[in-house]
Amino acid sequence: MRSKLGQDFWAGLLFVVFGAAAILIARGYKLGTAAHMGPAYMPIAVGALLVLFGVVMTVRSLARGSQEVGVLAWYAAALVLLSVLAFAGLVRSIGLAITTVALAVLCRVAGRYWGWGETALLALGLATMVVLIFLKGLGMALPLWPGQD
Amino acid sequence: MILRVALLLAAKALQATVCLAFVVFGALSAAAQSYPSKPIKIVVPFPPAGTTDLLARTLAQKLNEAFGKPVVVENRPGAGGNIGADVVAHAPADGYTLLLATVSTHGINPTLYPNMPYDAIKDFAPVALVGRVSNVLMVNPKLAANSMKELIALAKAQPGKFMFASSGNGTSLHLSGELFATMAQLDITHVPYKGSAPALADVMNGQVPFMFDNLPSALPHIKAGKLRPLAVTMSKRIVQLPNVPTVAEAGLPGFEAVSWFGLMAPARTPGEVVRRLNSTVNKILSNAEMRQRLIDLGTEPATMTPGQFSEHVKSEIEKWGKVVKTSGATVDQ
Amino acid sequence: MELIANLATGFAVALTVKNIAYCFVGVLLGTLIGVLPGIGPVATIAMLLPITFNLPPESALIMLAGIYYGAQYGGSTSAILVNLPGESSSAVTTIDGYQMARQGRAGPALAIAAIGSFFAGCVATVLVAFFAPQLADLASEFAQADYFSLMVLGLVAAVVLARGSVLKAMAMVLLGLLLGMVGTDVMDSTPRFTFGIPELTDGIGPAIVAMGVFGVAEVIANLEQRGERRVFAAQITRLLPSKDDLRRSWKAILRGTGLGSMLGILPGGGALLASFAAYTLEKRIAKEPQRFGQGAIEGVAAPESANNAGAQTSFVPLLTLGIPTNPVMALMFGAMMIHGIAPGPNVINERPELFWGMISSMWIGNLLLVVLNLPLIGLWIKLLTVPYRLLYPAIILFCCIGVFSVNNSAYEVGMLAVFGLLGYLFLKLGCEPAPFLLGFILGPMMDENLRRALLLSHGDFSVFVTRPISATLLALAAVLLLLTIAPAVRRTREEAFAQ
Repeated sequence: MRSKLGQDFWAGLLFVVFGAAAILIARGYKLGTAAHMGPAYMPIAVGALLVLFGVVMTVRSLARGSQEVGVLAWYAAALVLLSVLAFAGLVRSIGLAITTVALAVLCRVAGRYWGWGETALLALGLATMVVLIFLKGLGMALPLWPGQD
Repeated sequence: MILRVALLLAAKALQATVCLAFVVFGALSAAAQSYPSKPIKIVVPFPPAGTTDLLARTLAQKLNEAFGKPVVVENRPGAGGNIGADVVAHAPADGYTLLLATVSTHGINPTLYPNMPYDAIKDFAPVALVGRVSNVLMVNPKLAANSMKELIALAKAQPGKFMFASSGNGTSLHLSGELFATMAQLDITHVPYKGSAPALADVMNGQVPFMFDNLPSALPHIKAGKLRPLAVTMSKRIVQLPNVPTVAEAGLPGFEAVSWFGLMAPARTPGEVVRRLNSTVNKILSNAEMRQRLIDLGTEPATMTPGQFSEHVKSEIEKWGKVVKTSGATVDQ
Repeated sequence: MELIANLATGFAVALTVKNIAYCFVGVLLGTLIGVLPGIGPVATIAMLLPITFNLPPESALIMLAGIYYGAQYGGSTSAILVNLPGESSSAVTTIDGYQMARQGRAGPALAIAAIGSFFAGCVATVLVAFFAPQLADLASEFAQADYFSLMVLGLVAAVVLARGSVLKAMAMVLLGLLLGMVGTDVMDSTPRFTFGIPELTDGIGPAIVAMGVFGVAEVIANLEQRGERRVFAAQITRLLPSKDDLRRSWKAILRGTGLGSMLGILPGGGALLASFAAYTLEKRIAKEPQRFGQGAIEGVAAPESANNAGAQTSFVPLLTLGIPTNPVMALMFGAMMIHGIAPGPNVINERPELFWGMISSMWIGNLLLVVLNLPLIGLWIKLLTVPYRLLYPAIILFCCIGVFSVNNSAYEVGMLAVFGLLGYLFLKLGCEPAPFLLGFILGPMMDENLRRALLLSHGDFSVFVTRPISATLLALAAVLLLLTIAPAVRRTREEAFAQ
């Protein structure tokens, strides 16, 4: 299915936003001279090209249409990202074992797999495996249980 | 006093399990007699396998043997050493989290970074110096400079055009070059690289005439004749290069730029624990095998009392502060 | 004759039972961490470094080297099976390898990756043994201007990777370039796009980006369809490549090996640049380039040969010049220092048993790897029959641990979530992650080398065309760009006329 507000329209817009933001922020950096090219040079040049390409893509999509974006899986995305953030936030304070269980549970919820027995087995299995490989095997600097950091 | 102890205990209990609180409680009353009663962590604020990391790992192994408790090294690199140093600055002051501090974290960075996450003096209790590393002034062997004086003359002949390489802005090697330029009254251009390997490569193939580098990474190239050493930056000659004069001897009296490494604990670590650690480290450093291992790593073993080390840090911050300010180098965040 | 004597010295060291055992442990470990997404050879070698303190230096280095090139073997496995590069140098293998797996041809894909890696490993080892000093000289010919031009060529090549729109691929390279510039700039110490966050001052690690846009994003996209994309395990027809596969692959393996051996000795890119370049070359010279991206076996054979050859030859600058060209070599440098060996030109003369022992062990290691990996293919295929509902939590977990292991930083695991989201948006908008990743890695090096080259030339831009190496690379880049853009422009015009 093609649509005027299709993939290329939004992708173009994404590029314009990133490019424009880069130019705006990089304006504050030194431009320098040819011999001593400043830190602003490359971001502004790249940002400008990105804006140009983004505009072309957006306009082209408006004129000729591009493939439809389709439905975004907000629920799955939010929970998968939450499981990653949970790992980041918890692992130092409560240790690898419980964090792994939390991550596994959140991931399973993300996929709407409600078999809790299977989730429990999976979580325990994964926790045992990573503790054995990364803590015992490789000696990674991570606490195993709460309060060991 | 009672209030402080109570507060301290409450804070500890919050972040620790009941089991751990027991240990803390014990540590407060019995202080250093039972130290160490659990594994010690040495934070290295740089990536694995650099000089700082290798020193920390060598030391950790010996501390483990001396204490009979595991001593683990954890690399927390980033922001020129500031991330790792900050971790220790805010760790519990119980002697179980230590920092392998360097001339960067406790000499240069306090002036180089306008927004420091920690106070290099107030947030730390200096424990023990471990070693000192000399930097070496080296030129491409094809350059018509057989001594430091000849190098200075060459540089003076082309003001603004003569260049020196370094392992990056604000490193002790960059600032050694800046100090050299100031003292010899040179107008030279700094060419920074990402680490010392690419900088060495460009001096060896003649893209850049000279650079300062740490002894450990410079020595193999000097021995192979790919680089010509003109001077060492310590105040006395070094074992590995006995025929190379110091910068001071070669014509810039008073010049000294040394990379040093030492153990630090968070401020308010019990004095007993600091003294115990200091005497253990100093004893390890007096061992002949350990000294040889350090010399193999290009490091000169050096010991100080906690008090001397503390004074040393203060004078280093003052000294490098001046160099940073004259060079105009800064790293904003 | 001297060489034979040298190799005899080497094999005398490498063929002791003890050293074969360490070599085996190294390559086995390397294969495993290569297969596990996220955790890479840098973190593994760093964590194992203390264990090697008490080993004899030869054994320690043989084992650590085995981890590195073993990881190159393993890296292709997860790229092919779950579309997640185990190592960033396998990112390009996902393009055709995963398509092959979806068509039920995971077996031949894995086998050709192993065979290509074995061949490349052997050839590169011979090259190192015969020509190490000459190769090192070649590498030291490269000046700042040449590196800049090499990066330009690499970025243009990234556009060729694109399956779809050239314009979109170019925009993705640029976006990668931009995000690659986050962090303190090497030349002026200006923090770019760091928003005052100390964790960003050293830039965003490539592992975070690769795991985010490939790993996390892919999981979200699969969950969207409740894993229905992954029912292709049942259709597996054969485990080993057919005659037709081999006929298509052997030249690709040869070319990949050649390119990989050359690029491996250069600082910065190494194995990564090698795999991308090899893929680009195959697609460029193919009679039917439209097969690429649809499961072309050359698209697996070439990059997997190249990254293994590159991994092997990247030891040359370390062992002959004492210059580590990538983070793994920097760790090897440290490992040698701790054993009292100063890496540099003198290693060959002062420690011949170490130098030649290591080189001989690479032959043995490659042999062990192919013996280890061919039977494992059956096992890996079984992995495809593991239901996705059990597999994806493990993928997310390994991505998190892998990112954490690089700098022991929980903050960076948080950033993984950001790149996961970005990668999911890319997927939904039909933007390809491979050009983005290449732009991300090469961009900051290009910026740095451009500015340093101009500083060294006192602002004279002519260095880029007066130096023969640089001029050749830039000319190649220009031709490649024209060849890529011209058909796209023509197509657009034809469409415009048709309307």
